[in-house]
Amino acid sequence: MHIYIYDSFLGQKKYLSQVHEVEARVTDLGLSGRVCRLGQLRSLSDVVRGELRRMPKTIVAIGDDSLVSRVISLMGGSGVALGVIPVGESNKIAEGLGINAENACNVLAARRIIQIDLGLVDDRAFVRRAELTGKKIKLQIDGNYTISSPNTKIEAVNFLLDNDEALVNKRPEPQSGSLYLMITKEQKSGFLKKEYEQSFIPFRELLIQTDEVEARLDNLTTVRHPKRLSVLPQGLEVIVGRERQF
Amino acid sequence: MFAKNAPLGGISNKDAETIIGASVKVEGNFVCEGDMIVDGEVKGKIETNGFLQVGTKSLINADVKAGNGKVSGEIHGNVKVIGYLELTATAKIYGDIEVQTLSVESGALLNGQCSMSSVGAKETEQEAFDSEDAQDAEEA
Repeated sequence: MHIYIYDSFLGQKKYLSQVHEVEARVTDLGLSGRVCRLGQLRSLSDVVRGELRRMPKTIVAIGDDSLVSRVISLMGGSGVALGVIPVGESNKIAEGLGINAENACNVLAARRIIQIDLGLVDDRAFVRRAELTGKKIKLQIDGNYTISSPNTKIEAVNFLLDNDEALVNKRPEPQSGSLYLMITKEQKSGFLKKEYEQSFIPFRELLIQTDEVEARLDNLTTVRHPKRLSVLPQGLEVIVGRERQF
Repeated sequence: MFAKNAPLGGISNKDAETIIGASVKVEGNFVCEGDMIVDGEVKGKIETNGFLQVGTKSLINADVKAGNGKVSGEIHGNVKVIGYLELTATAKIYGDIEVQTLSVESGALLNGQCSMSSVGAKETEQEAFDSEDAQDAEEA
């Protein structure tokens, strides 16, 4: 059975017609299922955990990156497939999975399921990237060596979108069993053009040896004082489109 | 003679699997697979079975092992390369080198012993002996 989780903002007038279109298309394709609408009295964690106990065939998140990211962090390692129907302003995760508002229902019907790795900051999952901010960050990588790099942007990347800038050809793949540490420093640049120096290091586990650090997960949620960053290999079963970006 | 697909002229950032930029400092056993570029500072040990490129600004206080390599920076430690090693004019090595094939550009500094007893060739010879032994055993 399919479980459809509607984000709370879908009740707004401007999204009604789009939601009706999705519902009509889902019915046409014979994919109807139970609908769970989020609201002030219904928390996402209660909904997802409750539904996972019933072992549904698919949990479908209807909403934007924020909802998808929160659903993923609750579903990681469950073995239940995740479907995404993007509605709303920011849909980078769906874009990376090759899903857009037009093809979403067909992608759901085609049911092309792959297993992808998830990144974990302590026990919070992320799909694309986690940025670490703080002063004098020191990291221990895979128990073998430490890295320090002051005044730089430090990110752990699971996969990049096509328009994300990276100075390497070999782009991170979320099926590799590794995450990639991407350290970027802005160089002295010309009047119009910025130049960057970028370090790129594959890893499986990273311990944060600095206290005052924050991790921003998929640019959506923040974890204060994280201690550990790791990979959950094949942690998520997800339905993807043909145009997925990895 | 060289590892398969060994890039003799060096590698670009686009081709490397691991890149340590000039702003990054690494301490410990830095062991990786695939091609690696080091432009920063490394203390401890560096090991890769691929190509290792050490940039002009890099400072390495470590023993180094690599499949092939090109050094333009400073290394304080012993260097062991299975195939081909190129030292450019800005290279400074304070330690012993063990390598199969070596190219040294005018201006490079090498303070240490250089042994070209051919690490790879030794292995190849051993493999050849092993295979001859196996053939003899079969014939017998």
